[in-house]
Amino acid sequence: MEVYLLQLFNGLSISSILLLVALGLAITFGLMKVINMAHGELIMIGAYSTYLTQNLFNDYLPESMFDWYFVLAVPASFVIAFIFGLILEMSLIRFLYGRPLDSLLATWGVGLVLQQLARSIFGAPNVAVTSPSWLDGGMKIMDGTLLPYKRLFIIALVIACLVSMYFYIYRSHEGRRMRAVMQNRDMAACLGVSTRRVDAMTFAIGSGIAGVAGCALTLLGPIGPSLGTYYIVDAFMVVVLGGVGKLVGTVLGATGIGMFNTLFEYWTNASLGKVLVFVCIVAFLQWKPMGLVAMRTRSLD
Amino acid sequence: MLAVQQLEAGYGESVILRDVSLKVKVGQVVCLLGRNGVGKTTLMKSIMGLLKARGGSVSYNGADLTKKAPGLRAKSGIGYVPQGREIFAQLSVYENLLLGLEASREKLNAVPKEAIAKFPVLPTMYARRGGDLSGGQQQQLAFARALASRPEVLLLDEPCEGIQPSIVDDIRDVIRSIKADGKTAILLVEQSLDFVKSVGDYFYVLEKGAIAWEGGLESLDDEVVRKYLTV
Repeated sequence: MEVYLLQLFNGLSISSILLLVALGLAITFGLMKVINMAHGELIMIGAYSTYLTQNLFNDYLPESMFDWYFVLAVPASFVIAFIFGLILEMSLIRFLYGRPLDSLLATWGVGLVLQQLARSIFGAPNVAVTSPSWLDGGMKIMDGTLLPYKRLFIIALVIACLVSMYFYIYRSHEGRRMRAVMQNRDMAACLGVSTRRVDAMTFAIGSGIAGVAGCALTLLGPIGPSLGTYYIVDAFMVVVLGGVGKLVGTVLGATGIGMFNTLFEYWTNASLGKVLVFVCIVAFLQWKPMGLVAMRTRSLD
Repeated sequence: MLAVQQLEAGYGESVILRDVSLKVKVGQVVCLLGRNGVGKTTLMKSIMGLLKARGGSVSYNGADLTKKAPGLRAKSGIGYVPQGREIFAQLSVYENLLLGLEASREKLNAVPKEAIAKFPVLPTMYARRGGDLSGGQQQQLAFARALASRPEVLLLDEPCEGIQPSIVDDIRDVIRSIKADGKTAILLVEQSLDFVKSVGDYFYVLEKGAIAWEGGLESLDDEVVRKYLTV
């Protein structure tokens, strides 16, 4: 019984990490159709922002305040990745809309540059981020079953990100403009929506969420300049499996991959489990190329 | 007054419009006629700014719009009901209408009553997705969306294309009532001669990308129709 409960929790935990990593990509790739290979590096930027916040607290604030650095690190990672995203969109991506191959190559190059930049600033070895003490330990639900607070925190963070994204995209004026531009750019422009502004904001928000994901990853282990490369494939898998352009699809995609990953790893071993998951994804996409949740509408012409 | 002077436009290498000049005054319904492929929709797109002009100018109330983006043209008071309606399929009917407010110069927060009053069927469908509506309903939505920002010039590109007769009558009534208010100028592209004759004040006929004939309702006789419009 405990074993299954623990596996279920593990699956949920992996799903939440995958989802957090993929949410930003669900916006930049899912909504904007930009194949953003630098997404992983935006995650890395978020992680280093957390590292910087920690160092600032260490150096300038009394030790009693140190535990609270993480509360500031989440918005700080968002803002810094947001700014990087904004600069990237305004200087490069805006010239590459509708050119998937070019944007793939260009963003990959940007990713390499950012990795090297991190290496030059912070050095090649991984750096450790000390988690705040209030995230140490775990919740004991029964003998031998301990749910670590860090994992629970990441699940809560994903839910918070999802809820705020939902309200932004589906309930706010900005979100309405965003959806209009992504669906029919010309008509949105003819109605007076500033498409340039919407593009820049949308890409920057997707990047900011990648930053938050990077912040969360510091809880799981040391971080390095190539942190993003470990997650980029998973992130694309989640978005493609979920169905491009739908937030619900991304949630389902992440849950599916996370759960099956845990299940297969439990039955076999870590590497074979991963292979089985990928085989399942490939098979599924053969059957439903549009992913789990496809956009449907009444076609009129 | 909307004025187009010696406009030239095209796609890629091919020139579609050469030397087109026309004027639309407030309170007037100006109709643009012509066979298929003479450049009517291209002209509408160039006026709206979706297509860059290669030469000539588009100006509104004396302000030159030739180099302006579509959004700025919308904000200076031009409303557009495109061919094929271009409803945001994944957005609700109400959201589609709210997007019509983006160009509003009065910073309206709610869709003005007079924009919806003309299409009583719309409020009953606010929560439905735009893409789930029928063609005629979408046309009414596109019309109401354009009216939401209280435009001073309305560009209507084939508003009756593929629509049942009763809605065609509704649209005719809407155009007439806008004309009766006398605050809006309308440029209408339409294939049905009966329809344009029933609402139009002044007519331009396009042929091979240039204005081939222009005149009032009384001079639009059978000979003109035979020469420029009969296939």
